[in-house]
Amino acid sequence: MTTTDDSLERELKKLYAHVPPPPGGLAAGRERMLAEAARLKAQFTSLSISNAAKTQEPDRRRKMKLFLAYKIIAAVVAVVMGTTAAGGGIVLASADSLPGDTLYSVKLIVEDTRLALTADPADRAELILSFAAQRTEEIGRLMAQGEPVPEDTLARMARHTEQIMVQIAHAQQEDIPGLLERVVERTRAQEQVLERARTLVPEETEPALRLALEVTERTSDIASAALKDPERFREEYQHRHRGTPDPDDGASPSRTLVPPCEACTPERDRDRDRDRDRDEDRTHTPQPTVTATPSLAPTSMPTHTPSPPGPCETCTPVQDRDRDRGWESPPPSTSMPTRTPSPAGPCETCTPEQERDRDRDRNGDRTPTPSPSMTPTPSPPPASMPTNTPQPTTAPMPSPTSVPRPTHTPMPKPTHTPQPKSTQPPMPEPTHTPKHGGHGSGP
Amino acid sequence: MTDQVALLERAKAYDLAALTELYDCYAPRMYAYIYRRVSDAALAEDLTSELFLRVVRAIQNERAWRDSFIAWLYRIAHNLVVDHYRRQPLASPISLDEALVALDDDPASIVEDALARDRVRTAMHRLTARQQEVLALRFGEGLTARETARVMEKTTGAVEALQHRAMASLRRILAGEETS
Repeated sequence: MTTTDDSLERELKKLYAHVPPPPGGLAAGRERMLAEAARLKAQFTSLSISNAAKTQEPDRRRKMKLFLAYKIIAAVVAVVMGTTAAGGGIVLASADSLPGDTLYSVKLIVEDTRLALTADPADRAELILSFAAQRTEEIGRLMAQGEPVPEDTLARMARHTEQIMVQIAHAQQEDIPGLLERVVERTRAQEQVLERARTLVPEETEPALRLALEVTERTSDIASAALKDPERFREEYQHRHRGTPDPDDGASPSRTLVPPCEACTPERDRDRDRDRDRDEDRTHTPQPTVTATPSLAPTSMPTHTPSPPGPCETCTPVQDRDRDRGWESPPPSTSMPTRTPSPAGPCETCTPEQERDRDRDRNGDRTPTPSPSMTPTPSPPPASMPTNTPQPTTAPMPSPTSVPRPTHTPMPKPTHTPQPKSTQPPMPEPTHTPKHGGHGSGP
Repeated sequence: MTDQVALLERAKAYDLAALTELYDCYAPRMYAYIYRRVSDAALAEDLTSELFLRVVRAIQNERAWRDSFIAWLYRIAHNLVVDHYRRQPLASPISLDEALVALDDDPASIVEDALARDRVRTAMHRLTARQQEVLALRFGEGLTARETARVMEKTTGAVEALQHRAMASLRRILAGEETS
């Protein structure tokens, strides 16, 4: 073959001129695209409605308090910044800033200060909700402008979302249902924006986006479940996060919740959280006698439900969704939750490459491959796992954490818990659990 | 041009008729481009479908396509091809059968042409993704250096340099095959 440029060009053109027709035609692709467009259009419409609804404040008194707090903070920040007039102007100007703007850090300082100066848990919950909504709006605006969404913004959104439920649990009982409803509503809007962002964020931001999405979904699930029994939710959360929430925890990563591991999945964070609770319970609660019956008060929280073996209907809503999306490994073969024995360690398996592959899996490019490190290991003592504990059949939503009531019903020591017959397979969660926990399996 | 802008605006609002029009207008061209890059008709069809899914998911980001919609499509197509090879590094060269079916010349010339194409194609797959892209755009799509520069978000000079290096590499690979 001649290797001059001209002849090579001719060869290339000849090569490129040959294009066979698509074997299946292009009509299927068109249908797929139109179906996706219809889905996005519906999502977009519901998002607009949700955004319009969220602007309505439920309580005039609260509004006034927020307004007052804002004024005080604006003044404080202005004083801190030196010149009152210029500082106030900067604070106001920062309100519309976006991540990456010079004034954006001022906006965040103002937010943190507002939170630090707010003591009432309901007000704090409102504030945190509004901050999460701010992050949602910022992400939407960045996407509309074609700008990359910074990892910090996503992490901050995840942190806000994590904090909301603790604050709500410490609010006045009559405020809780309203707040929970707003959490459900806003987390849905947040979820939609994050879902849209999935197609646009750069590869390196994908883990942060996934974390934010998972936290949002989990919070939405918790809030939905809590709405069914706010009293129980309040009791359990107050017990789990003993004492009143720290007024400063908005300025720094959550102190009442275990700080989320950026590299881990929320599933793992949750397991770590549960381990911590279990350790605390072992340390602080009196040990029950052998006669203690397993009549533990089942909790309404779906987050601590381990993933039992067997069919999908026994999974938590988050697990169901994860499975649908191909984000999580397949169902475990034992009764252990999907975590490694060292939950606090870094998640070395969650590389961006895998994240991307999982995303592709979600789009049906290939079947999901279970990550080896996510494979459950049978090392922890099964006696401590509540899946082996006989479950009350009439309980609405049993939770494996089995957090004891503060006044009575001490936590039975796992080894003393009457065990079901060893020949029985691990007890799956009641099949009605998912119905209580979530709002569908995602778009 | 104004029609095109109006069409894109409608598509941005998920107007199904506008999206259909865009698809019918650009899908065949994108399929051909992707085929030229992957040499596999079924795969090119799948990636074309995936391309338009990405388009519809990102079409609200007007800034991405405002300058040139077709350039944006080529960029997405290129990314899809690169992603595909990252997951599945081994290229599957076109089968001779496929080439035979496509031509209706005398058998000797069919085989000769197919072998020549196969040889160039195999050599092409040893170039970098960017080099393959520049050659496909210049000689497959028939774009000028300036248009190619727009698609690749490079300067015209950079595109010309890249093309020169791609041709030199291809020549070297083919020459190496001849001597071996």
